[in-house]
Amino acid sequence: MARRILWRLVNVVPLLFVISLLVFFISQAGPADPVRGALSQKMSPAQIEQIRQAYGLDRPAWAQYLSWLKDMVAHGGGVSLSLRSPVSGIVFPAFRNTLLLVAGATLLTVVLGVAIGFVAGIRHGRLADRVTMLLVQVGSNLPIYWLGLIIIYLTAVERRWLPAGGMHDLRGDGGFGDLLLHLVAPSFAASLVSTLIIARFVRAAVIESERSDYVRTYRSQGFGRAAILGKHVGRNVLPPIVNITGLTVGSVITGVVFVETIFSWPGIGSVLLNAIAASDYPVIQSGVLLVAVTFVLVNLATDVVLDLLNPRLRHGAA
Amino acid sequence: MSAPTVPAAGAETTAPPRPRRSALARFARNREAVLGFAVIAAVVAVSVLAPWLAPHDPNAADAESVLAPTGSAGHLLGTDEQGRDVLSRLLYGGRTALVVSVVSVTAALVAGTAVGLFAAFAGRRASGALMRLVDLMFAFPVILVALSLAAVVRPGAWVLAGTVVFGAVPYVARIVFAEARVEREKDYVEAARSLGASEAAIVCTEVLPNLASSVVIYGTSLVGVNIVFTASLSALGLGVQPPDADWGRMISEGAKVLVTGSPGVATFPALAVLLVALAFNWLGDGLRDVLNP
Repeated sequence: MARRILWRLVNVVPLLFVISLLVFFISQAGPADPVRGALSQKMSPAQIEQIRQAYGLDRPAWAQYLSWLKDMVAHGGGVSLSLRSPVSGIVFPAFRNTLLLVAGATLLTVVLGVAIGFVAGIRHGRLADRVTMLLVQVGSNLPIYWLGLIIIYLTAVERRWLPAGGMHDLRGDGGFGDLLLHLVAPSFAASLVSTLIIARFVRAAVIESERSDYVRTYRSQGFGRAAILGKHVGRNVLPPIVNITGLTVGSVITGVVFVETIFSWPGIGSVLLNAIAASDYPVIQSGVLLVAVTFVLVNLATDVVLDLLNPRLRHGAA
Repeated sequence: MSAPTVPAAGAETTAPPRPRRSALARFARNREAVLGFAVIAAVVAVSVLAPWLAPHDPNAADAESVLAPTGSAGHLLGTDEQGRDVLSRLLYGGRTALVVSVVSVTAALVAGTAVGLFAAFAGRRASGALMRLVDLMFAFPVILVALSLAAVVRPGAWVLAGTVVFGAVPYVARIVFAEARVEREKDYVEAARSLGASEAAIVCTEVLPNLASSVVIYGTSLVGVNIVFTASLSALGLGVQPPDADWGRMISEGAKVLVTGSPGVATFPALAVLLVALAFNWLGDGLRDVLNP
């Protein structure tokens, strides 16, 4: 088992390398020339060349890549072109806020997805199942942006249950409870698509295991349905749920970026959108790299958890 | 991006005793498929004919009638913040999304099928490496692709297209891979091989036709998914740019007035997206029943 986990760790390295190359390529392929964009039109070609040399832009691409990477690893990137301040001070706090939202959305995804899927699965073919599946079909085809607006309207304008956006109440104490309250609506909106993926998946898994021979055997021996579901079906659908949860983290992240602007959540999505509007490549690169690396690490963690859950590996085989 | 449910890998079907109805006749009897097809046909027709159907210029602002309510004279669905006719913008608003989704999904079907087939028939190493890459793309946050593309080529239809292709290829590749692995073990492949057919010929003329229906069915649902997805990207400002009318864009432009008494500006385009996406889902599900009975 240790060898397998180690192998997974080793496998991540080339992946991170490729991702860093692609992110580096963003500024190389971008339409804006970093020198020409930043300087006056009146400079002579010789002067421009001088500045190129000063910034190392005349060096071969691989040398530029290496110093870029060093900069990235050492202090999270260079200096923002539009805000004139270190990128790390912009990107890291925003990313922390985004992680909060990703955590909230992932939690909701798992809890709601499993609950909905289980209910629909054990009521397979009945009214509850059909109504749920209809809602799942409509829900997974709703534009998230509009859904977010409707949630704000219903929970913050019509009824004043939840705050309309942001992370903290300006007049409040900024405590943890306040933050949680602000987290509810955006987490729900961001999690919807992945929640429904998991719900559909869990439903199918429950239906399949309910039909399986071992469940029929238990039933024939007089075990109660709740006991069978809890002890046996539940255990059999757990690994695929972990697996699919890991796979949906990507779509949770996508969902989070979609809802950040709607709920004015000061996260990495808003930062990146602003940076794109301003052609602020250092911010774009470090933001994209940060999210991508986090994603790879989450995926790695999922794989390792699956390995740990796998009894064949746990008991020393393979 | 969400995934349409993955169709089960090609199960061996036994020939029914009665002569089967033609696929077209079965399609006509499938209510879901017909409904989906009708909605899509209607939306496509309306989008194509928008210049003749629209009562107003979709981009013409009219300061005289800002935020006219739904049902007012001359503006059936009201007007937006700039006094532009919502109905006219709705008629034009599906054009980019439909073209981009259909064309990019088609491109992704071709690319994904090529990858999946190659991986299924290649040696174990190549196939393992390729499918690991696909697994990774499969779960990658596609929004990062959209944001990176927008940084490189500026926001617009190309960002939508590139993101849709990147997002759809791994799904297609996985399905084709799974099905091609099943097909590979079947007798007809063995027969073709024993007759001296090359691997390439077997893949192209024997296996590919057997996978075509699954690919088309899956592609249909993917178009629906991506109509919703591109609308969200455009709402964020990464896709269709103002002043062009676009459903996603209309949703974000109507956001401000949604809570102040003009919910229609954002809601009508949202319903249009929902309807078209559902129609592609219905058509996909219906086609599955018709083509893979």
